[in-house]
Amino acid sequence: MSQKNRVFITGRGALSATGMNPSSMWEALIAGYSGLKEIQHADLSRWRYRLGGEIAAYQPAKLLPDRKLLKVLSKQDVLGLNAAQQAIEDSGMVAYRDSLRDSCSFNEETGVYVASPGNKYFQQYDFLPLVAKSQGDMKKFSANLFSEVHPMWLLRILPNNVLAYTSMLYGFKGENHNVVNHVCGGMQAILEAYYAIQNGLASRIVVVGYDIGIEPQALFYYGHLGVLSEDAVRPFDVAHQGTIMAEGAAAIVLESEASLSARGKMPYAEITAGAAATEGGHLFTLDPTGQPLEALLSRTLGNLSPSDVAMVVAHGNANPISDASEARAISAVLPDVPVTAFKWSMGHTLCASALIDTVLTLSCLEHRKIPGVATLNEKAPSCSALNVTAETRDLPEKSHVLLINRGFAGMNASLCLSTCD
Amino acid sequence: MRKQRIAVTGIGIVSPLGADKETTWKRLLAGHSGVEQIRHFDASGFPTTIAAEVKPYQSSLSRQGKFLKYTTSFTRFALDAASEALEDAGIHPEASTAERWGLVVGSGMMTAEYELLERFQAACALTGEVDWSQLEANQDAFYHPVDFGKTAANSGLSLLAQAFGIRGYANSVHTACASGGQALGLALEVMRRGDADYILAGGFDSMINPLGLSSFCLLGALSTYNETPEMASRPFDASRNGFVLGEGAAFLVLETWEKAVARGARIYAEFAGQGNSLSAYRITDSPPDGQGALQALQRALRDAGISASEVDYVNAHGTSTQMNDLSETNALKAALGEYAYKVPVSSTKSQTGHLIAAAGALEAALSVLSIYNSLIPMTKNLTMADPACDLDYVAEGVREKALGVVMSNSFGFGGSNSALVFKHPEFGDKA
Repeated sequence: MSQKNRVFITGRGALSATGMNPSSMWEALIAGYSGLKEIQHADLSRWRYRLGGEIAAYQPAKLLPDRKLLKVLSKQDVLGLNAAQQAIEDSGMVAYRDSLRDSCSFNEETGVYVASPGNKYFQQYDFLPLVAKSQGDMKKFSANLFSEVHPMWLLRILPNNVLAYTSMLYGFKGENHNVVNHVCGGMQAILEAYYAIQNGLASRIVVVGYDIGIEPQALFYYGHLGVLSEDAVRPFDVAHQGTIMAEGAAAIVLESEASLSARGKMPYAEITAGAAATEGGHLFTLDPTGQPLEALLSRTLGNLSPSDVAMVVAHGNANPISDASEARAISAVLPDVPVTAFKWSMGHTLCASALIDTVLTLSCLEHRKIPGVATLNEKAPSCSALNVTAETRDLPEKSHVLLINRGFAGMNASLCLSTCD
Repeated sequence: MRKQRIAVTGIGIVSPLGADKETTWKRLLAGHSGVEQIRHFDASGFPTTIAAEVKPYQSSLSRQGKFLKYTTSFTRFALDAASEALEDAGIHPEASTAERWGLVVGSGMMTAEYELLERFQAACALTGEVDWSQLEANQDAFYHPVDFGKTAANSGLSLLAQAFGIRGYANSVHTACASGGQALGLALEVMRRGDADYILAGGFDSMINPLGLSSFCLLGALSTYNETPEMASRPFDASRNGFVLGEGAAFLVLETWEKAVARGARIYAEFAGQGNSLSAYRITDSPPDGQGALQALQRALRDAGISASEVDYVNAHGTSTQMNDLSETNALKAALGEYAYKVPVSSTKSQTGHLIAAAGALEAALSVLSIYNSLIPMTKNLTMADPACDLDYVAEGVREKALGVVMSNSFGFGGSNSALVFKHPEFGDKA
C-alpha cells in the first residue's frame, strides 16, 4: 500500500423543509428563513410539540426516476434516493462513465455508503388493521395475514433500500455500508467512505443520509424525553429549550484524486480528517463537561492550529445540555473561531443532518459566507465564550472548516473539510 | 506497506444450538439441529410453524441490572455473547484502554417488539386506523420511558458500550443478511487504520416474532417442512423449499497482533481479509452466475494475500434457497476456478437456521473454531444434491482437516455481499 489517496467532494444533493435542492436550501439559510411549521401530514393539533420541518409539497412520483418504485419504497427511501440522484447528476460521473468503452471497472470501483434511520414505527402500522381484528389471537392473525398485509411488506421496510436502489439504478457494484447509528450515522457514513477511498478500497463513493424525524410516534417519545421545543430551534441562545425534528435527505459524491483528474472534474472541497467515538454513557445522555467531544475535536484538528480554521459548523441542536457541552468543547479546542449551526433553519433531520450540514458548508465555501444563527438573540451563559452571531459574516480566508455531529449512544463525530486551491 | 495483522482472541456465541460457544460447537459437531416448532408465540396458523429459536437459558446479565430494563431478547443475546467473548479473550476495557476499544455491530432491522405494536393499537388505533389525538389522550397509559430506549436503532450498540465500558470507535451497520459479515469487515478496516487496538465485533438479531415471521411468509421465502423441523434447512439439496429463521448473537474480540502476542493471548486465528461488494441486480435475488458475490470473494482473497488454491474450507452463506445456493456455487466456481471442486464448502445454517443480521457473525465465529479445532462442520440434510450445485458440500459428516485458510460468506437482500478470510495463526509464518 502506497501513499494514502486524497479524497474530494464532487457532487451534492439535498432536500428538506427549506428547499428541494442545495441552492434553495442555501438561499433560505442565508435569508434567515426557517421552514419549521405545524406538521400537516398527521393531525397533531392537540399535541404540545407539533412543529416540524416537513417537505410541504411532497410529490413522490416527481422525486423518483420511475414511479413503479413507489410500490417498494417508503417515504424516507424516496427522500434518500432523490438526494442520491441529485448528487450523482451534479457530479457528472455517470455521463463520464457512459463515455467509457468499458464501464465494468468503473462500476466495480464505485461504492455506496448510506446513513439509514433503520426501521420506523410507521412502517409497522400496515399491521394495525390485522392486530385490531385478531385482538391477541394469533390464529386469527395468521388466518387474515394474507388478506390484510401486502405480500411485499418486508421489501418496503428494508433499512438498506436506499443503498440497494442507488446501486441498482446506476449499476454501482463497489464497497458499501449501511450505517444505522442514529444521528451520528450520517457523519460516520461520510467518514467510512473517506477512509475507503483513502485506503484504495474504492475510487468514488456516493454517500447518502436520510430520515423523517417527524413521524408522530417518535415525536411522542422525543417530547416525553424533554428534548423538543415548542416554538423554534435556538442553539446556544439563553432561551434554548430543545430541538424540532424534521425530514430530509442529502448526498455527496466523494472521489479520489485519480478519479477526478481522469475526467477533469473540479471538486467542491477536500475531506482531510475526521473521527467518531462513543462516550459510553447512557443511550440518551452526553457528558455535560464536553470533554469527550473536546478530545475528539483535538484529534480531528491534528497538526492544524485553531488559527487555520475558518469556521465551525456546530451540531447546535438547541438542547441546553448538548449546547453547553458542545460550546465548552469548541471553546477549549478552537477558541475564537467563528461558529455557526444550521438546524434552526430546516430542523433536525437526524441521520440526514451531517450530510445536510456538509452540503450547506460547501455553499459557505463557495460564497465565502458564514450564515448567522437567525434565532439567536442572547447567548446562554453556558455558551458565552462561543464566537457565534445572528448575522451573516464573511468567511475568513483560511482553508479549513470543522463540522460536528452528535447522537444517541453517546456518539460524537467530527469532519474537517478543506478548500481546494 | 504491510497491513496491520489482526488476531481473533475471544469468541462468544448465543445460538439456537446453545447459549455459549462450547455448547454450540459441540452440538454442531454432533449433528444436532436447532430447528423446532416455534415456542415464542402461537405460530400454529402460519404457513411456517418452525424456526431455530434460542432455547431458554440462564443469562449472565444479572450483574448489569441497571440497564437491563432497556434490553430486548436480541440485545440480551448480544450482551451475553459479548460477555462470553471478552471472558474468553481474558481482556476487557479498562480506564486506561477504554478509548482504544472499539465496538462494531451488525444489528437487526426490527427493533420494536410486537408487544409494543399491540399496546399502540389498543391506545390509539382501535379500528386499525391511527388517531393521534387518542395517543395524546391515552399517553399516561401508553407511555413507558423504556419503550423509546428499547426501540432506538442503536440501542444494542449503546447497551454494549455501557455494559463493557467501551469509549472508542463505535458503529452499527445493517445490510439485511450481510450485516454480520460487513460489521466484521468494517471492524478489520478500522483496526488496520489504527482507530482501535481492540474491537468487540459481531452481530445480533431475532425476527422470530409475529411480524418477522409474517414478513417472510408473505414473501414465501421460508421452508414449510413443518412436520420435520430438523430436516427443513437443506442447503444445496434438490428438495429444499426455503430458509429457516434463526436468532441469536455472536461476537469476536479482535486485537492487534502485537498486543495479543505481548500479553500471551491465545490466538484462535488471524482475521486476514475482507471483501465487500454490491450485486446491483434485484432486491431479493442474486445473479444466477454469481456476479456481485464473486467480487466480494475476489476482494477478500486479494485483501488477505491468498490465492484460490490456498483456501482450505468455505463456510457458505448457504441459505437453503434455490436462488442463493446456485448463485453462491457459481460465485465460488468463478472465484476459485477448477480448485472450487476440491475445496470443502459447508453451510452451518443447515443446523443453526438463518440468524439474518447475526448470521455472518455466527458463521465467522464457527469458521474460526473450525481453524482452531481442525474440523469442518457438515452440511446437514444434504441427501440429494441439486444438480446445479456440484461442489464438495461436506454432506457426509464432520471432517477432520488441518485448516490454514477459511472463507466465510454472507449475502443480503438489497445486494450487499461480504466475504471474510481467516488464517491459522501460524499460516502467515510460512510466508
